Amino acid sequence: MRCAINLDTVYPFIPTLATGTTGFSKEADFIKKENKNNLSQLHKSFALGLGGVFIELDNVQNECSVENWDGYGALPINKTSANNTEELLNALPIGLTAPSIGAEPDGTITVGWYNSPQKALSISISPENDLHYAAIIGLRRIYGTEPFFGTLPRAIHELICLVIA
Amino acid sequence: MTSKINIDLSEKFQHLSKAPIVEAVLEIKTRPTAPWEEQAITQRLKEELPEYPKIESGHDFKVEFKVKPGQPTGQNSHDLGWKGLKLTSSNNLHIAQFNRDSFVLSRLAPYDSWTQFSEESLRLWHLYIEIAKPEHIFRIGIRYINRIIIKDTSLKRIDTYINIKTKNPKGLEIPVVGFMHHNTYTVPGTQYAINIISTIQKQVTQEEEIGLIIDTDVFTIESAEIRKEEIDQYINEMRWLKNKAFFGSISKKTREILK
Repeated sequence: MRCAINLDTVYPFIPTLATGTTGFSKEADFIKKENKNNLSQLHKSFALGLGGVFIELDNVQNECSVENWDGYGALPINKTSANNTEELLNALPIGLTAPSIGAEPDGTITVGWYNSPQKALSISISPENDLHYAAIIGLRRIYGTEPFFGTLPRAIHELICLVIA
Repeated sequence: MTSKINIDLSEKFQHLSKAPIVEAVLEIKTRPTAPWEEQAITQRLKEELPEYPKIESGHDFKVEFKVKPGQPTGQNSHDLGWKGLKLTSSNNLHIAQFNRDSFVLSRLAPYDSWTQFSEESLRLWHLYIEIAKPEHIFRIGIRYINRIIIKDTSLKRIDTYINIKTKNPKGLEIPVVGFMHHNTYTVPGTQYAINIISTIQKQVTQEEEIGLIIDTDVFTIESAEIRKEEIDQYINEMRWLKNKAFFGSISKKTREILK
């Protein structure tokens, strides 16, 4: 995807499947379904959406579902981390370059974008819904943690844009 | 269109005697620092909120379906832990949620007033603060869902009711059978953004009527520390924005219908 250079002008305009404010009425439910149906058409597309990434997530979960999956005593994939990863993928803007999926020995899942040795970002999704990230942007090393509540945190969105630009 | 918006809290909005609000929601995304324990919190809320007698405990679940060629379909359910409580008032008009990642209050139709809704929201929010002891707010959302019943099923004329132009592609003058318009705006010079969704919901029982839905969702885009006076300020400013969003979305004719 072309990533907007100045997120001030576009954030949070980019449509995602992330949820807005909650609602209980049948109208809230209707809007949610309609919105999801519309956007999921795009999200399922291999050209604009995440295409095979959800399949990759399933594969990682299956391959790393037993203890010692790496031969060095790794923990099995934490189901909450996997669930949070799925939510994070749904919160990515339509058309964004698809990330790769990996697993950590502590049982958490990682989502990463790699452009070159000097442009890479890895996000580890904890069961507590924290996004621990580490990025290399040229000579800079950037680390941090952002809480995740269904919407892609701006700091991480900016890093993705820098990495894939 | 990036001029700074002057939020004028003294501005008066037209009173609509047939206000079409079907749901008002205040949602505050946060995270407890106190232990999030089901038994203790349930007991506390039962004691403090007797006017909310229906209490449901919620767990986060993930259900997986596995389909493999030549094998029966498998299903796994994973309990992701205790999420929190959903409390419904005895008149079924208020639904409060005390969740480990959020506080939510919904007011269903018939809507009373902003004063009633905001006072009830803040009363329960202060109880949430006492129980959960959160330190930061990650997001505040104020959402109003309006459903306007119109006796006109011709979607060609939808823009006589809302200030959105619907236009067929040139050369395709054929009926429109669905409509959904979703815009997101940031408010320059503030921490707010607004989602406005307009759509139609066909009535099941009344074929000559359609429900025109206008959903305004004003939310913060930066996290903040919890300070009472600041939250009051946020909420009042967000209310002004949702009123501007709603009144700016409906036509003069619709105002007349709702007057």
